[in-house]
Amino acid sequence: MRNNNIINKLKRYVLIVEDEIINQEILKEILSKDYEILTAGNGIEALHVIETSIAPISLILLDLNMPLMDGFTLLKELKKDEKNKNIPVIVLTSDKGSELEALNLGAADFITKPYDLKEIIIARVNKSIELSEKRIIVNAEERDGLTDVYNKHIFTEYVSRIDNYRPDAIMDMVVFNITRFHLYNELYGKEAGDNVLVYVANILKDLARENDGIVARIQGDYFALYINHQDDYDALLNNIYAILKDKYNVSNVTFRLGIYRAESTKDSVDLRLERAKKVCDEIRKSNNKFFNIYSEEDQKTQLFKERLNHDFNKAIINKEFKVFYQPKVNIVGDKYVLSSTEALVRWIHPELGFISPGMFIPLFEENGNIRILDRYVWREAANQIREWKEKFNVTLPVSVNVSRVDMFDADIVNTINNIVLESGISPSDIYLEITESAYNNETDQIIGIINGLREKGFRIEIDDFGSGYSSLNTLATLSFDVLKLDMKFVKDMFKNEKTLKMVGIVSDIAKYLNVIIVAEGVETVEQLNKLKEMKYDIVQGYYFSKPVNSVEFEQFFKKEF
Amino acid sequence: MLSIDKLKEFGADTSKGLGRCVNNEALYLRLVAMVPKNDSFAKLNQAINANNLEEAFSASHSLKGILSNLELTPLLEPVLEITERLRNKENCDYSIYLDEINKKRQELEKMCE
Repeated sequence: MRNNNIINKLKRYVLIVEDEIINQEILKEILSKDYEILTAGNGIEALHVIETSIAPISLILLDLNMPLMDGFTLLKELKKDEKNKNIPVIVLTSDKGSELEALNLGAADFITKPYDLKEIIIARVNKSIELSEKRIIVNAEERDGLTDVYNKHIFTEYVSRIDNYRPDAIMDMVVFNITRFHLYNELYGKEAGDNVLVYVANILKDLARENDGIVARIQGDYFALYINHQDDYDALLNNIYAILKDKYNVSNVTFRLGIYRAESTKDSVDLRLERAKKVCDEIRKSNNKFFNIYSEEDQKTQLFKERLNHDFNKAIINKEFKVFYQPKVNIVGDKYVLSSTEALVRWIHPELGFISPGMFIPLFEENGNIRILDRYVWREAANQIREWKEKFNVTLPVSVNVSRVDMFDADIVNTINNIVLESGISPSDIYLEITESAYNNETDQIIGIINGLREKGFRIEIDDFGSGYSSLNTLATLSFDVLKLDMKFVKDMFKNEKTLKMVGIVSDIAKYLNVIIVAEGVETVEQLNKLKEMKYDIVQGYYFSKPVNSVEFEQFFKKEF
Repeated sequence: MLSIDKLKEFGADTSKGLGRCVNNEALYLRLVAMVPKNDSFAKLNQAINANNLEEAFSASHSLKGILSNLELTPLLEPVLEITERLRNKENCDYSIYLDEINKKRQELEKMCE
């Protein structure tokens, strides 16, 4: 085995089964520098030691004449046991006649008494262990062709060995990825990219060696390290950047790291590697983080999210998503009157119960399912408008949310229009709330879509205004009908004088632009009165009602506020 | 007190015996000092007296292993003799060998005091 010093340096466990203490002691003296030594005085004791050893036994040195259970019987017992049958056994004997019988029973080798020179015994023990371990990996190509570090298969095999032979060591599983490496390849060419992989592999090899660990290239631009636990990954990363720059003159690559801290090794190697990679990949979404450490808590959240994603399609089919309605009340005149309502989606999961939209909406925004959910809500809302129209002979407009990802759908105008037409209502009955952050990118496309929707007769509301980064220029460029102040402002309006002033200024902007101004999150009469004083047109919030189901909502058709 | 010199005088091949103990003199002397108390001497005597040749072979065989490892030649030689005869279950007077073994064991025991 070449270059795998760390693996060769691991202290294997050797069991000496010998009833004579004197012989045990001599072998111990010879072998204890290179091996962890366990002893047993007969076959029965030996089976117990094998069973209870904290690390696997790499080799057994076996005397044949022993009380209770002799060496031959133990050898037969071992060969019968699936778990133990591959442990190599070297028989200790002073009788030529026993050697053949022992070899026939599956002994790997024999050592005669009186013992040979120390060097010969060590060499025989080494050889037998190496042969048995090599058998496990005999068919595997050990190394990655480009970088000469281990491949994934061998890496996991060696990590298991490190765990076995150093059970008390605290090790970290680290997945190491070159950020946006495909861009590097495109910019500088594949050859330059390959060079970077080799440089990185070289640095990681040194790092692994210094930290009693090993390194592998597990795929493309992903490396895996199994090293002694590190407290400071910032320092480690900076060190790598420094070497890359000073030694290889490379300064335009960055890394992200996913770390699984090995507080326990009870999770399998594959699972630890998978988790480290997963938390590494999660960094892609956040900009200022360079490493991510796996935690049990995160894992639970992650599993919960995966469950939600998994159950999504079924939930759509079974109509587990319920549309709730919150009244929007016009406060301009002396009487407060119901002006419209906002459709808000809730998920009543058959097993998990009520799931907060704060949990599932970001998730579905991330994986694109929000497009399906939005369409579901639009359709439900459109049908509801028609139902109320038939029942109360009143058209109550409903605001629905249009997510940012919907704005990248080239056919969005027709999609919404068709849903409305199919439901037998008019586009002017549906208000579209588009979150402020949707306007941050692709402005030309957004402007085109918004203009298209307005031409069809839809009313556009800018939602969560003040939470994003839209400039006054955006407000001037976009055509819209309603400005809806982010609820944070209302929540904090009496806590902070500046916030209160901002609430007033936004109202002034709306008046100046000649659009309707809406405040949401209104919970107290003081907030309501202040907003009225500041010339807000419409308010929404728990002060009037929490979001309720469509049946409960019907009370508002008959009620005054 | 047992020493390498005393063992040399006794006739042991101390350089070989020490070499087997990785030249750890303290270990070698400690192991040699364990020899006179080894159970197999008593077992060998009892088995020969009871004419149980199989038991006697097992005991002498054990002794052969440790004595050869420690190179205690004067004690090893009669043990080798008796072991081979016992292996072949020879019908002979084992007491000659036994006496020699016991004598040398006692000598060694004295050296250890």
